[in-house]
Amino acid sequence: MDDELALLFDNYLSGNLSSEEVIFFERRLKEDEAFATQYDTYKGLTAHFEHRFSENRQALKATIASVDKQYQYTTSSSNTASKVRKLSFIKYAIAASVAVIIGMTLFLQTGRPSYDEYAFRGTINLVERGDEDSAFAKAEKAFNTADYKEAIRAFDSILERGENAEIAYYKGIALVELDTYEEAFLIFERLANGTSIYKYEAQFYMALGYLKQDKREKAHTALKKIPEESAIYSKAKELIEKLD
Amino acid sequence: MKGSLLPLLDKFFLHLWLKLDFMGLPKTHQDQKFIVALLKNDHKMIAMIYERCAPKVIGYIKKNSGSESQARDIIQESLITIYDQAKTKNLQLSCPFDAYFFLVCKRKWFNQLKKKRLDGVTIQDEITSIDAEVQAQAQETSLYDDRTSLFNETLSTMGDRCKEIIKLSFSLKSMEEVAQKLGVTYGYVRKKKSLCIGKLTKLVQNNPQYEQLKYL
Repeated sequence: MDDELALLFDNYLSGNLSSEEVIFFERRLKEDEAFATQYDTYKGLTAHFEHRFSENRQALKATIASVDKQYQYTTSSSNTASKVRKLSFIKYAIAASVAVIIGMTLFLQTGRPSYDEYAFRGTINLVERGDEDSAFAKAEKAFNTADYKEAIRAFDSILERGENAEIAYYKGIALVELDTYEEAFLIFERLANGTSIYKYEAQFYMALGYLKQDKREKAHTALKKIPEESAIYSKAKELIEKLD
Repeated sequence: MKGSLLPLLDKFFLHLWLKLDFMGLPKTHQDQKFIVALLKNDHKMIAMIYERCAPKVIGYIKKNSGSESQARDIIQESLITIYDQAKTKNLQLSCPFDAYFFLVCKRKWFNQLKKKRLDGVTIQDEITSIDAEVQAQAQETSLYDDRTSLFNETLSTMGDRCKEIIKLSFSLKSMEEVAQKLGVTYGYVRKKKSLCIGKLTKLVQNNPQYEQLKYL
């Protein structure tokens, strides 16, 4: 590929062409097949390396490595007993969750929505960030045993070291649990305006914070800001319907 | 409570009808959640993938001239490949994850054996019928894998300067930073980066293998 073409592709991809040049470029893409093929390859390579060296990819690699470390492989013959136990546990867990879901659905059809129906009731899992790191372990333990004051202290000591959207989000939840709404909303607001994966979860939880205070109008407005493509949308839509 | 049952039934039939109506069209499998877990870097779900899928893969590779640690490497690489495909090509799973994942791992292992030219190794195939959908999906991932390997291998044949500039351009936040790090001007590093990718484009296009992989 000659150098001029490479520079042209780079300028097009980084938005450095004038609008006239863009129109000309895109027309050429349609009409000149060889040009289009070169461009596609150039663009494909750019996208490939952009992804390959991205932070997110490195982070996932680290997660997978840590899961691998924790995972213990046992052949079925040496460990049949525990496997059976586990299987039946899973069965019970599934049956229990089905019962809960049915119960929830029936309940939701009738009652006014309440904070407790939608509030985060799972457990959090933070220790993979570094097994030896006691702040994460402390936070996880405290949060999972509903000791929110202690959890917030641990979250704070983690957040002192730098931004962490996941920790901030859980801290927000803990604050709502303790009815400390102002501080919680500051956190959710920041997350909602950011780009982390907790963006819309935070928006949703803000609505729950309003719901807990019985500010239904405000909860409604907050939920409306959740776009259709977000993972939490179906939940948000359901809650909006209940609120209407 | 009684009054609320009717709309519930209504909803149930509506869902049933919608499902029937869209049957026959290719649609995303519910196991897409595992793909999403990779995209979201969800530790818990990834651990679940291990629980569900690792024993079969490790068992298979151990039966086919591999060790547990080699199998673990294959599992990690396969998860990353699937993530890469999901991220850059919007992979939509249309079949169960475990069957698909097993096949992806198996192919990766097979390729590795071939590369090491371990002649005479026989692959013990399990006598199971593999769903066509699973085959197709794993085949696509395998092609995707070939394509990214071709890109990476081509980069590794280039000069050190190009390698360094491409790596830094895509891992540092801005081209200004790259310039600073290399002690050159912003203009130079931008120009050099596009010329290196241009050169890479030419090399890739000249590779006969690329012909089958370019439309992925």
